[in-house]
Amino acid sequence: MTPAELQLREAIEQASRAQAELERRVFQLKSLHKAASELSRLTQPRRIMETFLLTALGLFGVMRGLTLLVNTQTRQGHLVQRGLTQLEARACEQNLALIAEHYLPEERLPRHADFLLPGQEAAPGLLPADTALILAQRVEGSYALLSAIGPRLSGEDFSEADKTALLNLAETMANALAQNLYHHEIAHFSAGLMRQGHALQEAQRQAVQAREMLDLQLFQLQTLYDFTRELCPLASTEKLLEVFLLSLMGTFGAGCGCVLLCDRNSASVRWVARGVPERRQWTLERAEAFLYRGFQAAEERRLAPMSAGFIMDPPASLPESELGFSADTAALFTVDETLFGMVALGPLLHQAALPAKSRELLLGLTVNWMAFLKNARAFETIQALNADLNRTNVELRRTIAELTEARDQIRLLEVAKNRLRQLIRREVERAGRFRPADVALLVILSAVLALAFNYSSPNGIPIVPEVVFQATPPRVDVLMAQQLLARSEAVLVDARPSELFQQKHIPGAVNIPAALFDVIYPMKLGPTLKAEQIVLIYGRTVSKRYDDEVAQRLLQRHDQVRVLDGGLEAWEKNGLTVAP
Amino acid sequence: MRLLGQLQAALTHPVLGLMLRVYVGAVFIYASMYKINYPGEFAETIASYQLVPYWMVNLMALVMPWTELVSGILMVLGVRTRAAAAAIGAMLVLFSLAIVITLLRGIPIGCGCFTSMEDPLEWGTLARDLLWLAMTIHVYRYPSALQLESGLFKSLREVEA
Repeated sequence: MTPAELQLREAIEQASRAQAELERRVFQLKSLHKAASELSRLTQPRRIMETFLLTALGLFGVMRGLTLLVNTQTRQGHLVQRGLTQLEARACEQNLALIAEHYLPEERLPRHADFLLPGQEAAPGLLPADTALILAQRVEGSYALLSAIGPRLSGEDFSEADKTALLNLAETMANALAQNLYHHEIAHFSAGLMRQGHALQEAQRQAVQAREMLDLQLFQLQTLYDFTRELCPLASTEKLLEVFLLSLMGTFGAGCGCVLLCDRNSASVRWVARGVPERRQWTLERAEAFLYRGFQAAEERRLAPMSAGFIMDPPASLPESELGFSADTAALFTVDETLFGMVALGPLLHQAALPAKSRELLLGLTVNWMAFLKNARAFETIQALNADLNRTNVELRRTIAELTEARDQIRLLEVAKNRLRQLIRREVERAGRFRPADVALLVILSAVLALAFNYSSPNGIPIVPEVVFQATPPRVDVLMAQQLLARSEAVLVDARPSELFQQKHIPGAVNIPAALFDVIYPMKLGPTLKAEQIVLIYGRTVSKRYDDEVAQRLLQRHDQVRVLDGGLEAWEKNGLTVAP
Repeated sequence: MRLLGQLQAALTHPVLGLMLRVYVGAVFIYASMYKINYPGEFAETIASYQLVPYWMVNLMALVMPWTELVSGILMVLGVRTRAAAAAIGAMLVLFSLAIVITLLRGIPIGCGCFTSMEDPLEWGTLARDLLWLAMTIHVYRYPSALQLESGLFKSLREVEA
């Protein structure tokens, strides 16, 4: 062979090698292009990964390989393999987390596809032992890809061009996957939105339901409030019964109804009915028997104090003949052991039967009402006690007044008794004692009696001698008298009583005692007395003026009457004689 | 001594007191009767004693018999016995003095003790008055039975008890 030939041959060989190389490049590029266009159409990650693996194996004449898509955070992923034994594939799937941890650490993950092998020791046992290339790359978010490619069938090593082509292919796959992941995410989002929409609708529905519930509760509370407000000012059981029944009928729209209340304490029955034509009279026995039948048919046979319960099938257990109407709804209530009863409502105007909520409300109202009933009863008891107390007070006050009066009387009597005692004591002490006042009293009494008797007696005498008030008769002195007697012009008269005259008198005197003047004068002097003669009278004592008395009497019959001044004493003083 | 004691007991016995009381009271009641009926005559009697001023004679003649009567009644009944005895005693003293004076003056008059027609005064009259006076003093000093007043107050004392 000539050198030229040799050279030529060499040049031809070179050219053919270059051509082969170029063709292979073209093939590779075509394959890449094909793969890229195919990858961009695929929507499933698994399919993308399969396409990538098949393309890569086909492109480089490799029998075995695998691709792993891993979420680096959850360490979960998908494995796609070709040509691995079943054992190897299972081992890979089981060690997925370990593989991810070893080859795809989050912090060292390359943004673009990069070879880990050659250049880094493959972890023993994690990937097939004959792995020629290991490729790692970040896809999107926390997702990463690990691709392992086995040896070429031809035994050749991978050229740089091969590697570049592989990298390009891997990039394409990563893009497709990323795109695919975006799609997925959007779909996921949209599904989420859809779910949320549904949840929202559900929530809305629940809100509406809740609102309805609230409305109902509000209605019930409002009813309860109105009911309570209406009951509040009532203090009498009778009124409470009426208002309760009317409220129930109004609230539930019943045309008729009744309330029956048994009070064992006072052995009384109260019956209030509305919309029932006839008025019923209940005895305690009859009412209790009736209620007993009700308790037999009640949902709860025994009711705790301050509770209420419905009667099942009221029309059957509460006969119309007893109530006067057909009861659709009836409830029993117990305030305490001595106070219990029943409330019954007739057919409702707007609905067939009471809904559960309304039944609850009815029980609630009844229990509420019972509290008022209990209060009213307590109030009535208090009132009764008060009335009793007032009565007792009045009696007490009256008794106190009577006692006070009696005490005053006793005090008065005591005073009277003391006075009487003092009086008696004084009188007793006085009885045996001498008192000048008694004597004075005695004399005064005597004087009064004497004067009174003298005033009315026919033998009465003047208290003071009459001569005291009469004019004194003319006087003559002893000398004049003596001359008159001597000339016999005068007659001498002694006016004293005869005993005194006989004892001593003027010679020649005629004794005419004053007391006996009317008898003696006519006898001794009257007939002999001449009209011109002077009658000269004497005789007086300290106790009696006899001369004046006689002179007064004589003056009524004779003109010339004189009284001797000084009397017998003057006569004797003048030394004249007296007889005897 | 024993005799003296018995005598004193007898003299101060309430029954004796009662007897004297009734006697003296009755005498005065009796004495007052005529004088009350005939005060004019009694006035003459008083005047005859010549002891009372002339303007007082009638008044005395009216009041004195009534005093005798009331005192006598009280004495007999036993009501305010001591006051009555005192009044009667005073009158007896007065009478006795009047009798003594009149006797001493020698005025020849009747006593006028019971009626106006009586024997002239003599010393016996004085003795009689003095005896009555002694009886009156006894009544005044010693208790006597059956006194209306003490009986009344005895029952009152029972009431008080």
